[in-house]
Order: sequence, then C-alpha cells, then structure tokens
Amino acid sequence: MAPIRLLDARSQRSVPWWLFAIVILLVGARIAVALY
Amino acid sequence: MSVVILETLRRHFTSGAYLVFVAFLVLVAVGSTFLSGQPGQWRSFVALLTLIAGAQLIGPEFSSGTLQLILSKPINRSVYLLSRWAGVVLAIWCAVGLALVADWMALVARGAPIPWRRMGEGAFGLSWSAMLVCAVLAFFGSFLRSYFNVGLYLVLQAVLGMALAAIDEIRPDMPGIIGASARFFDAYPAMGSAIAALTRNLFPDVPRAVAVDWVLLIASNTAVLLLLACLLFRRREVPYGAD
Repeated sequence: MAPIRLLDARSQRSVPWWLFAIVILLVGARIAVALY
Repeated sequence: MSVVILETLRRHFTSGAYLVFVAFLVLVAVGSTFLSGQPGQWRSFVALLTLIAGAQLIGPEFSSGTLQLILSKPINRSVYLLSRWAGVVLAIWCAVGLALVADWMALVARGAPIPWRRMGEGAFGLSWSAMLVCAVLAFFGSFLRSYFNVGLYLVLQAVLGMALAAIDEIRPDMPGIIGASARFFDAYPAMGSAIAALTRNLFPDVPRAVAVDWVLLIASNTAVLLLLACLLFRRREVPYGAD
C-alpha cells in the first residue's frame, strides 16, 4: 500500500529550472575558459 | 526562500558555539596580526568552522525529526535545500568578514602598511571555497542521516589523499599485493588520473592568488553538486513520525 502523503505534494518536489540553467552556464564557462 | 535563509542565519547568530567561534577568530586575528604584522593567520580556523557549520545541512535535521515537520509545510524541497546551503554559506562569510575587519584594525593599530590585495584575495579565496565545502556536505547530507555527511567528507578526503600518495610511492617490483597494485596502476594510468581529478574537483586547494579558472572550478562544481543534491533529495523518503 502506498504511504499516505498529506502536504508533501508532487509540485513541492520539482527541481527549479533556473538551477539547471545555472549549472549549464557555469560548466559551459569553465569548459570555455579551459579550452581558450 | 528568504525565510529559510534568514532563519538559518538567525540560528547561527543566536548559537553560542557560533558566537564563541567567531569571537575566537576575531581574537586570533587581532592578536596574531597585532603581534606579528602578518594578517590572515586565522584562515586555517575558518576551514574548521566551515566543516562544523556545513555538517548541519539536511542530515541532522532528518535524524532529529525537524525535516519531517518542515517538509509537511508547503515548501519546495529543492528551494529548502538551496536556502539552507545559502544561509550556512552567508553565516561563514559573516565570520570571515569580521575576522578581516579585525585584521585591518590590528594593522591600523600597529601602524603597519595594509596589504589590501593580499588580504582581499585571501579572504575571497576562503569564502569562495566555503561554497564548495558546504555543497559537498549538503550533497552527502541529502542522502545520509545525522552527521555522517561530515564523516564521509573526512574519510573520502583522507582516502583520496592516501591513494594519491600511495600511487606515487609504489613500484611494480615490490612484493605481493603492493607490486600487483603498482602494475595495475601502470597498466591503467587513467585510474590514477581519475583519482587525481576527483581530488582536485572535490577538495581543491585554496591558491594564494585567485585565478579565473579556480573561481569557475569552485562555482561550477558547487552548482553541479547542489543540483545532484536536489535531485536526490527530491526522491528521499521522509517518513513522518518515524525514524
């Protein structure tokens, strides 16, 4: 049987899109600096 | 988000241990700088403060039951994790800032010239690397309970350091398993460089002069680790009322 969840809804578990954007931006910058 | 950051800061500023540590840092800064004229001798203590403050991230909250209560409120798990990390990093930056001011005041009292650039770069390097240390601890805390995050951090750092030193020292003609390991690392040099790369990325040294590639290394690794922490924390089962 699935555990009962009251308030910890699915929307509360989403990872914000801007965190992905920051990661891509910083890793891209690091690669760019390493290459050039 | 800001509520969690402010609450984290409030928890630090009202914690006796934090205040005592900051007072100790300021005393070391004033004392050593005034007596020797060499600023920045308090810096090694900040590494300890970073470990102690960063160890509080997520893991202990899970074990004490705080996390269960907080996550029953309508707050996004990722935003909560990021805000806790930001609060701890800001608390460490405050301590570094105060020690820097103490350094400056001691130099003024001594009438010595103030090496602005050296002091600034030293404090910046320390503050910046605190972001990565806290991100590693938050990452470990996102799937471990209690203070196992700082335990894993110290063990991993020691094991990687010893492995790197051992790979340099062992020779293929040594007896038994040592020689066999040396032959293995000779045959697969990528293993050695992977360990070196992992060490460089998770536990980088703080350079004396801050360079762009080092700043980006810390920032990008911090972001990657926080993203991984959020992804793991999203799926973590937090049983209510049972531990």
